[in-house]
Amino acid sequence: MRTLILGGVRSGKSRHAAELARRTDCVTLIATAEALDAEMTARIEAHRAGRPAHWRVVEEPIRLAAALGRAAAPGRTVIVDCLTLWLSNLLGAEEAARAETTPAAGGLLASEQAALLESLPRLPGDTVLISNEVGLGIMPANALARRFADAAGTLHQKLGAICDRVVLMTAGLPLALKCVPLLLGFLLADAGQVRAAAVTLHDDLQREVTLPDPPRRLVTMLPSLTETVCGLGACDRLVATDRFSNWPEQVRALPKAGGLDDAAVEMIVSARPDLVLLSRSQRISDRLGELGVRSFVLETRTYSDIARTVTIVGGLLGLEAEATRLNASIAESVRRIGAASRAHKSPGPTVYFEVDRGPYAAGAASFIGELLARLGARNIVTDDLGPFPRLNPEYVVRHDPDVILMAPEVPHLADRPGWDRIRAVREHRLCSFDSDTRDTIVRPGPRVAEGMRAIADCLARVEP
Amino acid sequence: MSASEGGAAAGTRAAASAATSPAASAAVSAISCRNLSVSFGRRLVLKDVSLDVPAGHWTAVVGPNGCGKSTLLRTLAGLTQPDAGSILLGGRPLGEWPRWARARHLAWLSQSSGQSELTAAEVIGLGRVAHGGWLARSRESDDAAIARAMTATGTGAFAARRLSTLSGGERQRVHLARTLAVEAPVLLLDEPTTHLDPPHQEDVARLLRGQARERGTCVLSAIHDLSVALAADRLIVLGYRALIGQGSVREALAGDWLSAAFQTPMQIIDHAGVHLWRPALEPPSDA
Amino acid sequence: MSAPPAVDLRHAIRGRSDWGRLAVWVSTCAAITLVLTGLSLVVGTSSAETSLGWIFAPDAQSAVILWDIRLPRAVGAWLAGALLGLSGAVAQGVFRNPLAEPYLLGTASGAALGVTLSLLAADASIGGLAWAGQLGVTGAACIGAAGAIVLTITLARGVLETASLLLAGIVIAFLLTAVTSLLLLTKPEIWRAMQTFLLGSTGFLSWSSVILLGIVFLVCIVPSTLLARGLDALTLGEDTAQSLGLSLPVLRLTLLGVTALGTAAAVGQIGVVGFVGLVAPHLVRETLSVNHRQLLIAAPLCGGVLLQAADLVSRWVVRPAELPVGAVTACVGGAYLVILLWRRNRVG
Repeated sequence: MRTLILGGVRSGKSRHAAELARRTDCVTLIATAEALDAEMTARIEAHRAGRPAHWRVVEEPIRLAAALGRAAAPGRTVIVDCLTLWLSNLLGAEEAARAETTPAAGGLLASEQAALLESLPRLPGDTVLISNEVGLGIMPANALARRFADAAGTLHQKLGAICDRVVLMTAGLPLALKCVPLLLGFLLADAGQVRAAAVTLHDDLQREVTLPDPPRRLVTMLPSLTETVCGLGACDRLVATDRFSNWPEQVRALPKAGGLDDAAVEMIVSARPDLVLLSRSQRISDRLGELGVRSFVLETRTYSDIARTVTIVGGLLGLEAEATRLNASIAESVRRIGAASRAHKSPGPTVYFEVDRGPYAAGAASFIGELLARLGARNIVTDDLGPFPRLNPEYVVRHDPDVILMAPEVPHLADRPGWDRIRAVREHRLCSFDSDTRDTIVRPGPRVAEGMRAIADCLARVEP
Repeated sequence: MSASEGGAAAGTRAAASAATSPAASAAVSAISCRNLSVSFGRRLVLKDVSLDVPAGHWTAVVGPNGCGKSTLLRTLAGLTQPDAGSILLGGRPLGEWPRWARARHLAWLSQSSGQSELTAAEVIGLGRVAHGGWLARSRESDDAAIARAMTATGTGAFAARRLSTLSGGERQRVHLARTLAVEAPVLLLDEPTTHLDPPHQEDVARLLRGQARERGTCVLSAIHDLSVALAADRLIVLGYRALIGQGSVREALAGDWLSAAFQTPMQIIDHAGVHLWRPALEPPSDA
Repeated sequence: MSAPPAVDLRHAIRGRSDWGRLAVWVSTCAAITLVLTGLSLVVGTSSAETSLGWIFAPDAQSAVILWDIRLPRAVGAWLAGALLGLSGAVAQGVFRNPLAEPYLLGTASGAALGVTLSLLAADASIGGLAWAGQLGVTGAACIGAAGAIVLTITLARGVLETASLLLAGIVIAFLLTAVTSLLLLTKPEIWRAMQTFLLGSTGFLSWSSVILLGIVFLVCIVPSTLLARGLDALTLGEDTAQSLGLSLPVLRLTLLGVTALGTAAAVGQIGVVGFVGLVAPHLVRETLSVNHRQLLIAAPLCGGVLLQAADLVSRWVVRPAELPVGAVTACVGGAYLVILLWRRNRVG
């Protein structure tokens, strides 16, 4: 989301930007002012005092596009305060260069502006640009001032075209010049009734879901989603979960609204959730839609989907910072466990992971397969077979894995025809997991590193 | 009303005389019953029926619809359990007969035999099950019996066809042949002439009479068509719940048992020894 | 009633022509079985060329795959199909209904419940159910199927009333299915394993399965063919059959026992594979004019060929992954029934 805030001197631009940024804890301010004199230093100080302490502040008078590129991140709001000073800095630099006849400095204004306009649409997260509307008076008599007014006006026009929202501030009140349907939310926000900003995201059914403010009452219909919400520290927002959510301990006491395919719609509705998080099940999301309950569908299939789900749920809950932190910690744990795995000696052991009798295997394309790969194990079920294929059992005999991992333990594995010849069975290099551990392995949620550690421990134990 | 009451009274007398007549009690009856009562649920169908059916005769059971002709035959064949009374087959209580021996001694033709994908020959061959047991027939005697039954009923022409492809009359003859193939001393036939055209009805009547006279078989058949029934040697006339009488056709006509049974005056014409029922319905005026 | 020539009569009585056609049918089935078994050896997770190479120059591993995996699988599938075909033909005869099938007495639902219990027990450490886990899927399915039949017969108060039996079978099937569904809801993890069972799987057939299925097949085929004339007699109606000297309770109990045993063994080994038991006897009847002795010989052959072919398809189409064999038979069987229906409508 890109916002351009225009306005006169002391019209309330910075305050409005701060309002917009309030719904997230992750804010970077790019200040373009250079404290060249005492008066300017005082103004900067005043601004600094007025903004929240947790904002990161970056000072960049000239190379704005580069600074934006560095600062912008998913779930982060970057505020640029302000473009007017940046333009004047650029003009000043050009003038200085011209005075010294340094050819290299010529066209600095043009190149920096172009860089900004080019990078702006591609920035992740939210960007708020603040600029003074300087062109309202009569044409300045001074040539430099005229040039400045021209440059600002042209830049505003171009930014106005690119930005999603353009607001003109006058007397502390915003006038929406360009607006996505969220305008109402912003006006309300500015009126001080709701303190947060709306968020709009597309779910995995390609539905646009808009939340006027972060949901306070949540229902999750999948254990991995419950665990994700709790992993983001929002466990207390849950008012009900599906029948199978059992981690962390505190969700066991919550009302259970059935399973995904036999959801207790009445119970969900009576829990009065602001948002229901669920996996792809058209029936229940349609039904909830009819009943006016907002739902968001998330499918977590691959390993990278886990981080994506965390980010999206974080965005929905207004917990972008926590999401970033959680993802970083998951990635770090996974990296550490992977690096420590003894299976990395080359070549790693060949493994077969049976998720269910059938036999259904965890293929290389599944998130379990990804974990195995990160542990240095070589999955005999290649990714062209899909994430969880039902195999011809002969396949396992033919590929003769070194280790067999089973989600539920299969008794009498050697009774399967030909399986007594498999090296893993012969040398009893078998891994099975108790049901709590199994949950961490088969649920694509924030505890994935725990599951990975269990697999790594077993691989280390049974390896020759 | 008076006619029927008179008929009933005559019937009772006739029955009494038949039961005590020296001719009937001298020979051991092929099948007989005493004080037979049968009911379905609360509905009493037969009450206190005592009968003696002699060998060597074709006996027809007649009576109005729903009077229990089929029930009587089914009970005598051991397919329906009576509430009270006893049945003797060849002088031996029916229940004491071993299953196979009984099946060889008593053949039964159902009023409605099921559809089947079997060929006519196979159906007829089933009549020999009681002789050969479970294993396939392979004996010459079985083949001979089947051939005789086929010849007698004229079913050889379509012996290889499936039963389901035959006409109603052909099918009926196949079932009759199956019953004959048992070559049992007692034949219980429930409506053997249904689905048959008059010439074929006559064939069957001739066949049954021949079976009785030439082979000494006891043929007992329920027949609703009076013109066929009156060709039998003997009649058992059933009224609703009560036996009106049993005896020769002559005795039955003399006692006017039919009027008693049908509860309406029944006119029987004697046309050169052939007995015909004359409907009371006036012929059309232009006839 | 003129008597046709005696020679014709004797011919008709012995029905030699039909036995001749049966011989053709049997040899055709045998030939197809041989071809399919041969194909079964070369179709698997490896390419056909590799498999052929194995046959001529086997190493230790390929010998196991060929002779301990693919061959018992092909033979076992044939035997299971034969059992289903036989059970179907017997059930259709006993119930005098061409739409009867082996699962009519609640066998499938009973087996499913048994498997669910055994999976639950193997999965969770539910103390009281530990024995069910030990039993394994096969044993649990067998016991479940047999239990369902006992329940059905008890509910119908014996075997004399066909309608009561059918009704009781439906009631028991519904009840057991409901219990299974409830159990599955509490433990969705076993759903996929359960689904494997419900859609049928020939993947784990071993030589011991083959021996078991073979023994059961012999135990079933002998009394069935001996009682075939009883089934013939039954087509004429229960009264007629009884008057011919047959003991209906003995006939019914024995034949229902055969159906139960055959179905339970097949279901235990390969799961609930539908349509084979229904379609195999139909196929035979459509192509042969048969009495029950011929039908009870031809239907198992047909069922065996059907399931063997379905097994081949299930492991060939998406190799090295597999289709559920029950889905394959359902597609083929369903298509056949549609054709049959269409043809009947056109004729009628």
